Amino acid sequence: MADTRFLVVRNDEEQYSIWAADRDLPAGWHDAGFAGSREECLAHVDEVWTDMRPRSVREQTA
Amino acid sequence: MTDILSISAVTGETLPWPDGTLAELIAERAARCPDAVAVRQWDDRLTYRELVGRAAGLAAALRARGVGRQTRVGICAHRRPDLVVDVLGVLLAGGCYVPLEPGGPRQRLREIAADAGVTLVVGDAAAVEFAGTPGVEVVTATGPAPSAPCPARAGDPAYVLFTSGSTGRPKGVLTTHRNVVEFVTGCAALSAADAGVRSLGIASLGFDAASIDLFVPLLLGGSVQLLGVDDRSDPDRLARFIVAHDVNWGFITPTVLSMLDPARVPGWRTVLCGGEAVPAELAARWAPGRLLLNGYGPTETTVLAVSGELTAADTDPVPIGLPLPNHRAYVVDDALRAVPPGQTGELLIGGPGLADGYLNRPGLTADRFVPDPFSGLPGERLYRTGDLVRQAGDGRIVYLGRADRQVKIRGQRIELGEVEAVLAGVPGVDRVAVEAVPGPAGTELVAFLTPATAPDDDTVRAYAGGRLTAAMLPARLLRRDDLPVSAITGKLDRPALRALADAALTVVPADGPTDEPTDPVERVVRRVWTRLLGAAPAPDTDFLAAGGNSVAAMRLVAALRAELGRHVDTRDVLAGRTPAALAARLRAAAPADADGLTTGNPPTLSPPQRRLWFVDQLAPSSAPYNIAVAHRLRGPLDTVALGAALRAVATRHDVLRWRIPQNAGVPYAVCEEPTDVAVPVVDLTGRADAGTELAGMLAAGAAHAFDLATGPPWQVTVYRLGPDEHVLAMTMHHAVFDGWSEAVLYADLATGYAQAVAGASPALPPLSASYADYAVWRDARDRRQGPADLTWWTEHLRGVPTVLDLPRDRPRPAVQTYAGAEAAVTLTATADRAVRDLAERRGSTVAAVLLAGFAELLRRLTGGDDHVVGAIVADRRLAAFDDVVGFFIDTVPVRLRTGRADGPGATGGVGFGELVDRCAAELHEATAHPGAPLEKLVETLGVGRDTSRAPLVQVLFNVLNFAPPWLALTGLTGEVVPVPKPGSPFDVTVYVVQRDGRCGVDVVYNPDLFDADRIDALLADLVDLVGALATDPHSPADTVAVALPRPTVRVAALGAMTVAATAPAPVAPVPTGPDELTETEELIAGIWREVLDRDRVGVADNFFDIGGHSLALAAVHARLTAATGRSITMLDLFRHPTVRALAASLDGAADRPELARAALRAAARRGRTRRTPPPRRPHQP
Repeated sequence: MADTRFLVVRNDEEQYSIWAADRDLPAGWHDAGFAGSREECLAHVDEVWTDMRPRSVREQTA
Repeated sequence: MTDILSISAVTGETLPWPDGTLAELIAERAARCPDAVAVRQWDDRLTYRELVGRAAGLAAALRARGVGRQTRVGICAHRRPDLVVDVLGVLLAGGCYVPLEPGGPRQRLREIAADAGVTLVVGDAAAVEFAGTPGVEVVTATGPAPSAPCPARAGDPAYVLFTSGSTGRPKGVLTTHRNVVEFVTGCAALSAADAGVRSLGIASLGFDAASIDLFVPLLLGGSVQLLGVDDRSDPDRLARFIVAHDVNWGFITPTVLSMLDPARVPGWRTVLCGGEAVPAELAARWAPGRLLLNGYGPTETTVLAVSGELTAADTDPVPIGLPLPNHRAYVVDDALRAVPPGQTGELLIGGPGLADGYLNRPGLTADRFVPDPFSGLPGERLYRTGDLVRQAGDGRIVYLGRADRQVKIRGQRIELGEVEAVLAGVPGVDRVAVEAVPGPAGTELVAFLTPATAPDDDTVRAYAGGRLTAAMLPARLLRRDDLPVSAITGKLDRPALRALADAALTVVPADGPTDEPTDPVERVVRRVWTRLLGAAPAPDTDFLAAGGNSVAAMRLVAALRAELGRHVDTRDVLAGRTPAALAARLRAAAPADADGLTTGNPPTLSPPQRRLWFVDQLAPSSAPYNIAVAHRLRGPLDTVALGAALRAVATRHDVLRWRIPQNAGVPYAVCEEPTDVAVPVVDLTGRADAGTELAGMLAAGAAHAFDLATGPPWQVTVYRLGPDEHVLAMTMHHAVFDGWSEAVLYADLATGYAQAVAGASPALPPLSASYADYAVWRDARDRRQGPADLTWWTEHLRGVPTVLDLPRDRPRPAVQTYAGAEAAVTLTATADRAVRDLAERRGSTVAAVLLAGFAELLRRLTGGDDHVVGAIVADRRLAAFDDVVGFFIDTVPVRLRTGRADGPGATGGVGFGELVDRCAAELHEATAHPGAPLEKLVETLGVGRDTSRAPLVQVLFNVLNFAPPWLALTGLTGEVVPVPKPGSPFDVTVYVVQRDGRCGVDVVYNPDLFDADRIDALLADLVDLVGALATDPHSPADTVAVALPRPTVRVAALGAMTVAATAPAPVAPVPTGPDELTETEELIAGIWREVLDRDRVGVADNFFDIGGHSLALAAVHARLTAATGRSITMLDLFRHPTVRALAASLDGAADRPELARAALRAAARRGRTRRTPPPRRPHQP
């Protein structure tokens, strides 16, 4: 398990998650352009997901 | 797409929910029902108008400080109705609240506030908790303000709850308005909640269950019954709160629920239970008669995600149910691939309840909230619960444990939840928690089992050995009354358990009690403490260091209150902290201040006294209810001093001066002034056969027929055997006396006598409460608790045979006789050892073991596996009654079930060990429902009409074994002289006694039913059987010593199992048609209507079917006697329980032939009236 490669993925609400690189991406999820071990992916999410509000909420607020 | 049918996946129904924020929806509701109560705590009520009005004031103050959408505001408030104002105020301002519980460690509170970026805090505890905290401002409302619309949107967060993860730093879960509104909609649908909901406001605001307590009622127009901190932390007060606030719906954790008695809260119709696994035993106790829903859900999915109805038929582990509306559940493996149904995997939840994520923790959020590959809904996420489940055949989900609770024992990967699930299946085990801790031989498992009487190691290992690998078998099994529980969440406190497990592996328990305290209060404290915390304390053991917490304190207090009748609360435990300090507080505790005791009441009969009075009326010539004692006194007896001392005793205990006359069949108490007590001295000096004469006189005195109407209800006689040898004999009617009273009487008599022989006029200190005060207190208690207790008893006794007929030697007399004879037996040393060992191993009492043996004997004698015997309970629940002489005794039914728990048809019998556990539990239960005394049960069950036997209880098993008290008079040595029992109120009464250091059994039986030989043989076989069973507690009881009892005990005498012929039947069959009444019938029916308070009474109605009970019968008897001027016995009323039959008996009973003609004339009149219908009767075609 430890050596499974993951992708950082994102949905249309701009919520991030990770997904096993060798599996089909579920509907509505897109590759966010980062791959690595689980820990590396989660660390990357920590960096890039700076506003955790769903996009719809963020846009209503603006 | 995955084939959905072959994987573990369940989807809830679709259910639309309102689009709006919590604040908008509550404000809308308030506009529709402004005057309805929204929040209540005793007399403190908030209507919807007041709630919204005050919340608007707070919202205005918050907005003035810049609070708007998504601003986080802390709430630090005590559990008062204003807490709800604070919640709504923050939400109305558009903000999101962060619960900051007052009273905890301040450092942690401030860290959470800092983590959440909170700069504003509201609530009545905020000023104290956040005094001088830089960067935090405490906000209060300055006054009411006009309501402004809530600026928030449904997608904005409503609250952030910080949950402590298994590792390290607390994480804040962001829950939105939409999450909560959708949840409330689904929850209301599944629990049938509406505006009539009065919810149990018990969860702390920091626990997500608070959303159930608060928002379900407030969105529906119902009301929140908010518990204050004291009511919340004491099971007794909790029950009282529920009843007083008419709570009918609410969520509770199984741990707290298990401390409540369902019978005490009959109005609580919908119980949602969850937060942790619900034991099947709990479901069995609570499901009958109400909607019991299991509730499962992590905070991340908004309160509940999976729920289902629980029934008494569910077995461990009980299913957690199906997804809530709009939710989906999947069971997956490590790689998030769905597993087939039935296979164990991690539970994933999807749906609108999913929180946004963890505040400021994007990586953690991405890890736990993952893309949904199953539903096909684009961009949906699933929350990984970390819980192991499987899908049962019926689709329901079964919770098995936490996925992260895997440990390695001797190289094997072990799932602690799996070990727990297996141990929970051991019969007699309620709850299980298993922890892995470092031990001397590497990591070891320690299992905690409840209750404290859970089966012994051998039993558990025998059961689990075939189901668990060697590495999975716990190294230590610890039995406790409960498991430690976190005070905030009400869930199992795992860190505390690990600490206890650590201690268990390092500390070798001492062999048996070493320093048993002599002080009775300390002894009780030590015993209860040991039971609850698993280890016997030293006098200075610290409660918290020993694993205690607030929930354990709650239990300790309840147990001490029940045992000692003293009013202590959890504060006494947490402040005292050691057994010694606690005992000191108990001794100083005010006698039952808040228990409704009033003093100075005029003489008042208690319900048990009325029952005894009635029995006395029924059989006025016999004396089965006398208590007779005698002491041989050596030395110079001063009879004048004795008389003075007796007067002092009667002065102190006014009940000894009571008489019980009646008015129209209603008994009442009259108290006479104290007078000098003349002590008759019977001189037997120099008689040739003084011993025999004395025995005869003692027996006659013991059988003295007291006339309760004229009193006094006791008598004292001195027999002089020589100048320095006397026997002091006292006989008391049970209506004013009981076993406990004996010690009180002796102590007071000794004090008075000592004063008198010293030349003083004896004076005893007045009592703080009198027997009349007890009667009044008890009446109030029974009225308050009676309906719930009665429900409990009728449920508990449902379907039980109400007649227990042991094989006997003579037909049962048609009218019960109260003849008495005695027999006794002592256990052999071997049997005695086996009984004591078994009692110790099962954490039970010797009495429970003997009762279990007796139950097995009954099964063999009657062939049935369900019997009722009686037990004796002392209703001395308040310390103020400790020194009061009087009748405080209740006879309670004890149900003995010797069959398999899973019902008839199951093969293999129950082991004796389990029977002992059942008996122990039954004896315990029997004391817990005093509000419905036996006479009430007899009345409700309708079994009071049989004159041939005592109703419901024909065999009494008396486990109240007081150490025999001793009379010690100044200058005299005393020894107890046995006095024959004057009669037997039951067919058989079994007393558990101690004799020569061994257990024994004394029996009083009715010789009109049984021969002495049969009873002697029965006792011998009982002792042998108990010895054999106790030595072999694991084999099915029915396979042990099968030759017992011998045929002489087992087989009844020929023709004896009948009831002897009754009095002659009425002369002719009595017609029962709806005819005109004769004069006598008219008279009787009128009296019935009056006594039973009914508009009409049919001539063929059975008195006992239309509300008649023993005391009503006495009233009918008195009025009928007065109206006819004839001598009618109460038994006549039993024998002829209809108006027509009684009238026929009065008009022309067979034994009064001169009246037969009147009966014929009456019949003839009926014949005539039948031919001439009265006017105004509707025409019949």
